[in-house]
Amino acid sequence: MAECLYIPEVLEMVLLELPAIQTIICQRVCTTWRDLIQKSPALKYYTTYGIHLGCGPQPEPLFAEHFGDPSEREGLYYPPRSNFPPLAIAVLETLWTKLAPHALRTWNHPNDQIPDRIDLESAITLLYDRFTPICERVPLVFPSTNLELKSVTAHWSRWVPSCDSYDAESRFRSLYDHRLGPPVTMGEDTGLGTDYNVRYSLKLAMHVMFSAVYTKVLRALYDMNPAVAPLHVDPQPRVLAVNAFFGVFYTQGAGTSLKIECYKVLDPPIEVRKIQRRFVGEVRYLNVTNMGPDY
Amino acid sequence: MSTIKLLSSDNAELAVDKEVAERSILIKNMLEDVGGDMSDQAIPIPNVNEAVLRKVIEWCEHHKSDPPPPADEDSDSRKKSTDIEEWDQKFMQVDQEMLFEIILAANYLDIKPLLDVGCKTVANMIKGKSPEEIRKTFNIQNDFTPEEEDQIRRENEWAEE
Repeated sequence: MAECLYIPEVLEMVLLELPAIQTIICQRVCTTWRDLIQKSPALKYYTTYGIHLGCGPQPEPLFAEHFGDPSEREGLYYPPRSNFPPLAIAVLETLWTKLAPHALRTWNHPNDQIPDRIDLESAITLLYDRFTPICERVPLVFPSTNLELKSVTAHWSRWVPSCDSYDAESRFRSLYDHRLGPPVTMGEDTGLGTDYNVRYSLKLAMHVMFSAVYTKVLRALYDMNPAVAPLHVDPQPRVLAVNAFFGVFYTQGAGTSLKIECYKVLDPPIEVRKIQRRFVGEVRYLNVTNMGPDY
Repeated sequence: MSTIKLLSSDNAELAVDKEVAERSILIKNMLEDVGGDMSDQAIPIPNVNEAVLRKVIEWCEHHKSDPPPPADEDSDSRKKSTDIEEWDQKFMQVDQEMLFEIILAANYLDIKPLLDVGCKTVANMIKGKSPEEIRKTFNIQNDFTPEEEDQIRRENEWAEE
């Protein structure tokens, strides 16, 4: 091997110059490269979030107008510039580019025919198995993101506007629910917003993408779904899709934050309220009493 | 302007402006240690041969009036690898062996901006290539056991075309 690529500092610099997805793939080159990518803090960070260590989300004071003097703003809510690490978006985009053609193919059937979804099911299964390792590794949002548990709903169909095919949904759930792994446990050590749950949520995102396509394809209606429809017309389609699926809002208004709906059923309902309280109390950068007037 | 002499590994003596040579932090520190007076004595650069040293000096000459990098170099000042300036791109159009020699020399002589350009050039050679193509390009031995290779292939299958 070229001598200079044996020097860890040099190899590290080279690998940090690649797009993050390719840096991840470079683990396959040889054991030296793999070990460096897995052990160097800079490369580990880069292959988890897609940005360089130290260039993380910069806090941006949202309340500048409300709280004039910077020294008085200490401890207020400072959301990062973007809640989504570039790598999470890149992974979901990659997933979508592989998923969308299957949906389109199924959709091309004449109207009076119910499309056969066996192909779609096997395509989803394949993608599911392939994307699980990366989805378990990459978090959907930065750990310091201010998460608000908006609601806990039993069925993900409520996330997708005008989704009325319950049969498709339950069929999909029986097919893939067990693959999601253990449900989000709300024990003492894993309140929402901890690293564990943040990591888990990319897998959930994948699941929701599959579900939406699967459900919509049954009636060839997926194209009507605002969450899916812009995908083949809009020039910046896929990130929009991610936002739409998650009901994510990020506006410049005071106190507005990323909202994620969680579909896991929690029983009994009292638990939900307990978790919501607990959650709000735990999240970093969140100070409820200092939320802006629009909150 | 004072000149100093550098002695390459193959015993070639090269005269260089002090200012140019000081792009190398190694040489700069060395000169500071001896009080700056090296006018009659060549500084040995035992790891770098004449051809490479000339190339490195050429780069230093061209970049001698560059502003020093900001102290906080890890932050936003980091440029994307496509942003290699035109002169540097031309400068780096050398065969692979020379490219790697320049990187080694920049690393040894502690010339961070040159090392940066070198690494970006190598990164551009890697970009878009499969692991197999990368191995071929740099003559890297695939030293995975079949089990390891199978596992790591499965972990990265999602990114394949």
